[in-house]
Amino acid sequence: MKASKRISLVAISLLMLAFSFRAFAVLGGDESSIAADMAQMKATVKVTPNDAFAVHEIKAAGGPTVREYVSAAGRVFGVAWQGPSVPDLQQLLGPYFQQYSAAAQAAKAGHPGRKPLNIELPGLVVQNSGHMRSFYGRAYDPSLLPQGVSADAVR
Amino acid sequence: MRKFFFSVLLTAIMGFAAGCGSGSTPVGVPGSGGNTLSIAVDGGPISGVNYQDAAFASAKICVPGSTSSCVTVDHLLVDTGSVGIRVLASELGTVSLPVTTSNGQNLNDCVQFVDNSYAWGLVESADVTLSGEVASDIPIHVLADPMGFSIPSTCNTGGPDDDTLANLGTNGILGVGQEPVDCPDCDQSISGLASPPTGAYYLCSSSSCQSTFVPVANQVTNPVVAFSVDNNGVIVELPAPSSSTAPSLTGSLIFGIGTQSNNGLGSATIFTVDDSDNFTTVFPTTGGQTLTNSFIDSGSNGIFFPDSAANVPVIQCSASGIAPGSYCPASTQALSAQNLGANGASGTVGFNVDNAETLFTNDPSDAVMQNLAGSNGVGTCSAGTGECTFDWGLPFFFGRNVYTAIDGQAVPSTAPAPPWWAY
Repeated sequence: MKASKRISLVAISLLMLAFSFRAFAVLGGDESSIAADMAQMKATVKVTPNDAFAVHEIKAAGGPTVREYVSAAGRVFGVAWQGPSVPDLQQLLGPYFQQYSAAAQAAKAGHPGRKPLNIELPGLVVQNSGHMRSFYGRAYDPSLLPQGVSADAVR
Repeated sequence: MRKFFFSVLLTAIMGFAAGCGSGSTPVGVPGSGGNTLSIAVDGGPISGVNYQDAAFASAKICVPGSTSSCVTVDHLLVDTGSVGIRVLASELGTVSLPVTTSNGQNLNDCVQFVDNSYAWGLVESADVTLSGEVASDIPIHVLADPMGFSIPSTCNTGGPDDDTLANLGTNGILGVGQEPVDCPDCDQSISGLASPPTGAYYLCSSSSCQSTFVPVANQVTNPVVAFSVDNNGVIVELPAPSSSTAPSLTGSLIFGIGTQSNNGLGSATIFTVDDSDNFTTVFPTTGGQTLTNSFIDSGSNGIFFPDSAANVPVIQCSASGIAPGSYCPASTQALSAQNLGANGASGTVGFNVDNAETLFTNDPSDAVMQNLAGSNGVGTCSAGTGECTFDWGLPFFFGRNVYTAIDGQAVPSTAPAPPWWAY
């Protein structure tokens, strides 16, 4: 079952390359969202499958490298980024965006300062680190982590 | 990725700046004269809000070539972790600076911060005086929300919009970091990129924006490289507070390294950095993780490190309490880390971590908190991905003279080519 899943993921990735699909999947979305949400980015995609999940590494022109973590069941359980800017989180976090945004704004309310983002909610973890024009971060839903996969996998 | 030869811009700027420089201190200019700018850790500009562990300075900002259309802006965050002057538009008052344009469109800059806040605004030109040093006709970032369109989603991270005093927490930022300009990779002749980096520069019509490449000469500029002298770096000098917390602390931002009698390297150890302007910190010193994306940054208001490191007896404060993301050990913890430069230099740094909730409760008005620390993620660091950053924020500077040398600038012959830090 996992072997066939790997094959299908590779097939999908080749399909994406072939048709120059653009942009990201959505956290929590199914695999089809990777193809469905291909709006504006000139991205190249590299898929690295393993037994428990596949990593879709997306390099959008001018943007950060984004890695999306897709479970064997075809669900995006985490996203990570690295590069000169933070990716478009409204697009990347999808239904989680409002929750994240409220927490990110609350984290600073009344406490000015410059420190890494570290949001840990029951159903959502979002972290950002690095410094100006050189960031890396990740977001994942702990409840979507495949069995036996730790949050460390999302990086 | 950030390396490039800077002589073109430098030559252009020196042409403008000829005749200015240290040695004469115009009346009414902030600072204590020459290449020494007074700085203070004083809680920031907002009454009733304590911005802990942040150093501030003043700058005089003038319309290029004018001696009368000027404003002195206080409480600019002294930030060795960013590049360029950013000032809230509201602080400029009636001083109207010329906007940088291209093909009839305004050049806007976006800067994102590690807390996912972001700031937007026009690129405008100004003469900037910092104590006795003058940066003539440099591009600065004037922070304000746009009119007629929304901040692009590639800039707006969903975090706080720092275009207000309440969110920014300061009147502006004095970015004196390791690069000569804001975004070297945004100059296509340097980076060779096919598309402009997102989240940086945008050309905007009255209704919409698109990302754009910008030559270094038009980018928001490190004011230090625009000085006619003392232009290769800075030293942040802050004394150690008399106790671990204090109401305030004053010190100096010294311009130049090895250019005057007051800015020699002395016995400081130089740590060169990688292409992302990072060095390595091993934490804890014994048996710790090798954190390969580490840095020294006066603009970080605390010491920040991953809390997954083995045998580090710190825990995060309650997420719903008064210090989420900071550390709240039961008692003061004495820790140490080892810094490693790309040049092979190494040095061990000891530091203490106190309970942040206790600090905020017991010393609510103390701007100086030597032992304030927080989390830089909970994952592990492996092969350069994951939580790989040790961030030596302002507490690291207390009791140390910390040098920041700027990429592409000339330094004393005994020192390696910048960028580097030394302390």
